[in-house]
Amino acid sequence: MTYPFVSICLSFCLGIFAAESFQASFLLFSSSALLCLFVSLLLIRHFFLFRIVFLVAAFFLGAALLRNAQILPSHHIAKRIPFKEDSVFLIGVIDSDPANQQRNTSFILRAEKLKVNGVWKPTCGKVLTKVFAKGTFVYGDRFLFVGKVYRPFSFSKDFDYRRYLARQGIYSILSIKKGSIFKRLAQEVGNPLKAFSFRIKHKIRHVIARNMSSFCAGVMNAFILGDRQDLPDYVMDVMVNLGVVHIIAISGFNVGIVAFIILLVLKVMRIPRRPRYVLAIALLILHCLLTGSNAPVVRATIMAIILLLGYIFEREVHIYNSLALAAISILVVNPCQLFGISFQLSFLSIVFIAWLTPKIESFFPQKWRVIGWVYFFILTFSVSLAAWVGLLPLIAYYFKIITPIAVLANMFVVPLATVMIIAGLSLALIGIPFPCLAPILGASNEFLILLFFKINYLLVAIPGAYFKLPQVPFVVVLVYYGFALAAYFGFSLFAKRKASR
Amino acid sequence: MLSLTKEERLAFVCLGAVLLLGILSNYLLKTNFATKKFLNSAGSEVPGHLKIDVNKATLEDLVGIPYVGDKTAQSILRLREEKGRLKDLSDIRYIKGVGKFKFDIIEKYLTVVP
Repeated sequence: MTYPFVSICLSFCLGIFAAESFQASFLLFSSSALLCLFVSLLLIRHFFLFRIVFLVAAFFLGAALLRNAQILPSHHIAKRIPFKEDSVFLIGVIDSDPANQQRNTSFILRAEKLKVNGVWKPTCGKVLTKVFAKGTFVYGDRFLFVGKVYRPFSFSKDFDYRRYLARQGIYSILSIKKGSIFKRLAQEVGNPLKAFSFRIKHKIRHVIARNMSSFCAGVMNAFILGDRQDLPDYVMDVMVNLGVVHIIAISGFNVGIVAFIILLVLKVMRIPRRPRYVLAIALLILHCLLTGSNAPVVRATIMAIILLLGYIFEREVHIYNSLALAAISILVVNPCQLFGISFQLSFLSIVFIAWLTPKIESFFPQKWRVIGWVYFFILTFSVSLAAWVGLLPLIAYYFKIITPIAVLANMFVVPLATVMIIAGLSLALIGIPFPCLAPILGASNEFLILLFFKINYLLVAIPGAYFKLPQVPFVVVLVYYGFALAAYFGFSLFAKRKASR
Repeated sequence: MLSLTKEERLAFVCLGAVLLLGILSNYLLKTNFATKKFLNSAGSEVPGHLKIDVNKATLEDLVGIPYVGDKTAQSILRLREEKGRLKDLSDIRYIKGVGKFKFDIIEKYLTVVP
């Protein structure tokens, strides 16, 4: 079995999908999984049968995991307040880095106690909290809030906000109006590693804000910290229309550059190879926490860790295996992520880039590929086209848009964004210990951001750059990927037959 | 002697270029007002060719603007029908449900083409 984790992951994902589609009970799925695991233990010497039964066990495990994630404990806040309650006393701990928006501060609160009919009762669960009053909110602080708790509602027929929040484990929203009571009860009660990573994040944000204009600081915060709260909406619109919004979303692209810089800095510091890789793994985990631990970052961080572990233990790493392992790791923690847009886009883009890039490159003559700068263009074109082909139906389905310009745009934008991320990280890492260099680095970042947006606005104005679509049926997406899967197996079979001749 | 790969050397060259660019930009910012204005214009407004003409916008165009839902979009279209043609964006400010905050955002996406 060349890619054992791939078949296990696919089976696991099918199980999650089946549990979402068919309303069978948790008991059925878990007992089936247990039975299959027992049978696979009996068949451990028969490789083929063991493989089949183990994959079926993975299927039922995925289904059981999703069903379990959907069952809320009896004291969960969504069960204590299923719809709406106007005046609620709630004690909880701030479980995310608070985002200061124009009219409110929002964060996720991990509920602990709730006052119902004058009686304090224990509770649990995450609550999306929006505070419209002025106050200082820090990750890890325990607060008492008095406000309105209500079930999220969808305000647009195109976007199911309630389902989007439910996928993150959030079933209630707490709203604290001006003049409402809130009181800090304790400090630094949260995870110390997370608290430390947020402190570094705030220092970096402070350096960026001090040395750049507010617009450019908002863009740079999105690029290197994943903070999009200060990014104007029209910037996101332009980038979605161009098909380059992945630059703003912290993903494998950003994590790859961060990993490269970490390794380079540690190499310059003359740290030996193995300790360098171990330290890089620790710093990448810190970076993942710092940027909010969303699915694409976690995926990229896990893959980078697998690659570095491969270097440490001198084992070869297969991209499909490590991708599948990253997917399983994310889905075991939160199986609902499978239905999230960022999860699907993140994984599918890597699959198609890994599969199609060498094939697209092979269309170009070998004599072109040996010339350095020509190969650079061939590579950026191949990667861009591979990602575009892979994500076309999903982007059409979710965003109702087709962006033919994306292939060309990414060829310009991705290398420029690489320089911007290096420049931004330089400002963050050099600007803190050497504040005298911060204005110089800030000025270069401003120039690069200006260039970035000038190029973006030029590209989006090209006729035919993007087309808005009506709702694309999901069956079209399934048929497209069905053909892609058939093409993959067709190519593999053809290559095997060619090799055997 | 530290042996760096080609990519690592490229990263150092990149860093040097960023520093040089920063020094030049910083110098121009301090000595040349036009440069300061040029840099401050970086994406701070929606570019003119991307703004929607409020007198030609369809319901779909308007609903695509942040904070504009079906009701607000239909109110804008109704206002346009009543007046025949909107001469100024500030007319939208008086639509029910459009406060100062919403108007400040909508204004960035719309324009009136004479």
